[in-house]
Amino acid sequence: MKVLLIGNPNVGKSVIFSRLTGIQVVASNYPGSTVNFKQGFFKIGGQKAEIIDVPGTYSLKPTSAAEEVAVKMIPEGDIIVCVIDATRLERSLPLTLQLLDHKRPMLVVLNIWDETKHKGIQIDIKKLSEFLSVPVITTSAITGEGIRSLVDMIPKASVPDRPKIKESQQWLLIGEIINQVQTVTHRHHTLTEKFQDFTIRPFGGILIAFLVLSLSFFIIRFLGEGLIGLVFEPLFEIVYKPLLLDFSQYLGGKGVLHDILIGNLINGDIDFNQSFGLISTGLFVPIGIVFPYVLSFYFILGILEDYGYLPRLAILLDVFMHRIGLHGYAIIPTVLGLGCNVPGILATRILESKRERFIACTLISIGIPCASLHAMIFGLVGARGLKYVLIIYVVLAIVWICLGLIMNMTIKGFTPELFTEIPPYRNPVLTAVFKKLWMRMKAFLKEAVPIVLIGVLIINLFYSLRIFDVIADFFAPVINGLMGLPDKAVTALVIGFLRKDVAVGMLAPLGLTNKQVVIGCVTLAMFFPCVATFVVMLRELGWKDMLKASAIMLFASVIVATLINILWP
Amino acid sequence: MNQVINLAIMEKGQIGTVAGIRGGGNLRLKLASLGIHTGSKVTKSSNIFTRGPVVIYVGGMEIAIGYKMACKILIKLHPVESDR
Repeated sequence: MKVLLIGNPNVGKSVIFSRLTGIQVVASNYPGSTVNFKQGFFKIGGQKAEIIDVPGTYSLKPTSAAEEVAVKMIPEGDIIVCVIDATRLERSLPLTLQLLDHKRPMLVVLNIWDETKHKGIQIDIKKLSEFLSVPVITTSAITGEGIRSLVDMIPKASVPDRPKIKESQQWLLIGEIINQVQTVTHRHHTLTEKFQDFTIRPFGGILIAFLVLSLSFFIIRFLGEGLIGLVFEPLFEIVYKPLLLDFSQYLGGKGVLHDILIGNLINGDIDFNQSFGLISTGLFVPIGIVFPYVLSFYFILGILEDYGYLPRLAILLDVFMHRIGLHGYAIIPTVLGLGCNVPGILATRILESKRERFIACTLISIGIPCASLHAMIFGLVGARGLKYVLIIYVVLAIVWICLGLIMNMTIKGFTPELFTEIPPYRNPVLTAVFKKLWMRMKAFLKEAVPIVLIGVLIINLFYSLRIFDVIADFFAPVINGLMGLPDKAVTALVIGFLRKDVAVGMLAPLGLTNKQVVIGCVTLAMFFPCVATFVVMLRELGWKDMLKASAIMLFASVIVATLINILWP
Repeated sequence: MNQVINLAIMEKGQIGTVAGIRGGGNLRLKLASLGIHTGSKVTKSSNIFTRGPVVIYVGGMEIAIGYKMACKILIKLHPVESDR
């Protein structure tokens, strides 16, 4: 049996899905957090059933890639579970009525039921069920209330037996249903609602946005640095290093195996930044430096997401974003890209046109450093002075804006208008925030650590086979002549194809000047996406557009690096 | 008697009914999917800058609409309750 969870965006389908299947899914408080369907299994009365979490859609006539996915799925379902946000019944009814016309066994779930009480909304379930001619039940998925009765009710889903509704009649019918089924007790605006209004006023909004973003930045930095200083560095330096040194002695302090596993000893000691062995630097970079930053970034992002702040940022920035060929909503993939470019690129599916997606993907991969890169930039460059970190970010921001302006002017087409619902602010449920954080961290460790290790292994192999020398000779005119970097920096650029954090780490032992470090980091951020991002971009854009995007990246990075090289006294 | 204006120039706090949509089937479809159709009651919530998105309440939810799209939505204003 195949069960489909269908409903408007942001009604909590993904939360219901993870409650039913135990599969954890990233859910957030904004429309479009699920852009592809997810599949899982659960048990009904001892029998295994398949359940699919379909991306949210407002109607069965799709207007975006994510909605198309949804519509294509309907014929495959044996049972349709239509999920409705009980606090916003009216907006859910058009889709519900369209689904009824498909005449498949169906069940309606009024989710977010707990909030109707606070909002003074009363819904007559029995009457609604009569109107729709299918069973209606209530749930509060985030706390788990009603999930059990949902499981019990799924087999009782029934084929709707009401006549097809003409489109012209649809709104009249919805009006009638709302009139008869729902009563709203009027009440005063709550403090949250007043704040809600304030954050999308131009003046108040910009002020709040500035506060929110700078506060987020400081908390992320504070938590990240705190974790590194208090937990991870001591762990590596005090606990792990003595063990490694013993192991190094056991291996005889040199030899091929020693160099690959532990790396070069620096004055007889292991330097986690410079030794570059598989189990020294190879573990220290992803776990000791990057992990704490990724953790604190996703913690703050999770709170912002669940509170419902991001769509408001999108609306405030809409006017500006239109200049770079995007509409405000593109800020959400961009913010996700600050954590990791991969989910950022995937999230561009919420944008309607191909042109927009191309611009958004290119801008994310070129100008938005991921959390791993942030961590390395702060760790390595920050030690030389925050001034240099600032220069890197200002340069990247300028590149991001200029490239956007240029692409907007040169690529045919226009930017569609912003059109989105704004979810209400909801107080984040801490357990949900931590669950999401845990999932993202697990994914990070599973995906990042192996690639870092492969990267370090390749570095060591290339060094011993002298392959880097060949590459360095070949690229010397560009690397050395134009960008002002030593030939050896090419090794970092090559490894940048795999992972940017390791690549920045490789700049450390080169003894670069401050200027060269800035050029190196900017180039690494811009010149090409890491392999994971590349694969996803290729899949999302197709090879033709990917080729174009890659060309833009390579050219832009050489030009920018050269400019810094010339302009920096 | 009632004035018909477009959504973009409607003032903050004003209430009105959608009187028509100047646009093709696609636009109508898109708007209808979020509950904006001839006859739906809207309350203007805010304008973001002069040519930025327009925010309205309709059917119990808050929606942001791009400026140009808002210009295509015609609104019949409800008579102001305070007498003048």
